[in-house]
Amino acid sequence: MSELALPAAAQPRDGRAQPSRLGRWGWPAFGLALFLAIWEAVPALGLLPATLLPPPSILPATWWQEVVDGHWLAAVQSSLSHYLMGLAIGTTGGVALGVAMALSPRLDASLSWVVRVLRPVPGLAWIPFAILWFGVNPASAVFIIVIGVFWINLFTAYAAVRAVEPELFELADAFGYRGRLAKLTPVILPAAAPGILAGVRTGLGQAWMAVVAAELFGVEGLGQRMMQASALLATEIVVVMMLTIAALYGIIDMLFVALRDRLLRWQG
Amino acid sequence: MSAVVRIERLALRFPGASGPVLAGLDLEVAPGEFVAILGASGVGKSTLLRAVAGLIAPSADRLPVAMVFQDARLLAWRDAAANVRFGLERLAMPAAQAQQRVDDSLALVGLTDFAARLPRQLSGGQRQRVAIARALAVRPEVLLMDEPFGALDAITREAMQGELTRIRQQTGKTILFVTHDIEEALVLADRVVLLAGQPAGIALERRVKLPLAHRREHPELLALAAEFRAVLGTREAA
Repeated sequence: MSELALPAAAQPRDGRAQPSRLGRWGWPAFGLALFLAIWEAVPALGLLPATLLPPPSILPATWWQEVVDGHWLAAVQSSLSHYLMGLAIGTTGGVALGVAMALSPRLDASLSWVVRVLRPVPGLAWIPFAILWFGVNPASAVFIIVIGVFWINLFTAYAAVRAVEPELFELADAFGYRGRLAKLTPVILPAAAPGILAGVRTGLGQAWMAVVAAELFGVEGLGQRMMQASALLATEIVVVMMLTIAALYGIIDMLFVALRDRLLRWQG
Repeated sequence: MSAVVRIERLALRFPGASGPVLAGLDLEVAPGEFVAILGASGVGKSTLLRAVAGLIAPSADRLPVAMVFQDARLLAWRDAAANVRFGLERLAMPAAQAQQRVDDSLALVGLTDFAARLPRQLSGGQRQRVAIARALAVRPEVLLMDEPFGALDAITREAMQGELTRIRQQTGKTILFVTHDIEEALVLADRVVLLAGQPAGIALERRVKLPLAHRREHPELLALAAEFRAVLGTREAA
């Protein structure tokens, strides 16, 4: 049987062909341009009024006006502070409880029904209690965000620790790390880190969804500004705020991925 | 000379098993002695080693031992030096002393230049040498080795057997070595103990007196191998 020699560049390394430069940059740029062109054309051709679908061409000026008026920076600062605070508390709490439940069968069994009952309750359903407990202020927004990221971190941390190979526990035992606490820092957390960090990353996106929901009821931030603008049919401001959230998420996700890749560089 | 490992009438049964794995096993290992435990898969060799290590049925007087597993079991996120340091971190040793131990252990297995490599950057043989260095670094009284070369290819395996002989000559360590390979046991050990039966007991025990350097293909060694093979075959058939 004769062999087919493929040029090195065309040889798939993971079963898929390597994309060319056009495939990597050209097609995504084309897709984005086409999307913007259709978006611009729909209100321009009168298919929809500009108040229902503001064209992208007016967004830079709208954004600049929001910056000059001071609304944009104030909203970003408020939302970021809610986001970071809620993310920190929800992530830390979720990971800590997930790890503890994975390591303690007693705690796991004790909380199994509590988790089953509370897990399906959406974050938004807590808004009435958030207002009653904390009032319409940043604390209630932070509370909603905490709920939004807590569960995803709890479940991923739990699964990540449960997936640590039993051989590593035996190794730790063989070298005198007796007991689960003794193994936590040297073995369990580093071994579970890829899974835990995947949960944290999912939480980064979940938290932005919670930010908007938490601010819609009046706490200062991007969500509140979107509500104000939509009430005045200033939909171009709504779109600017939406794109701001997307940009902030993109930046934070990019920074997190860089940090994660640094922490997990041992994976190659 | 008093034994460094003394097992008296050891009986072990796994929860839910119909019968014991080991029943009434006696074994003594003298200081500096290299004893190979030989037997078919599943006979209880590794169980015996884990009992000595205190990983199952922990004994009241836990020996200062260190273990080398079949899979090197290196911590993937630590480089070779940090893996060797793993057992020392628990001992609350001054950092300089621990570093000296790490350096000495890596030098002993010939991996000084690989100290900063991650496990994924090492070959199978190198990973197993790091595992040996990690065990030696804690200065155990007894080195327990559970089929440490079982996952290596034939060429690397023979090279590692030579390495272990050299390390043993340099350190004089007492070694309890589990293998299912008759030749490997006879090439390396001072004494070879064959476990067989259910529950397992000592079916044959022989001392190998040939010089370590001239054992391979030696007629006396081949005769011993044939004897072990015959007993193993008879017991397995039974």
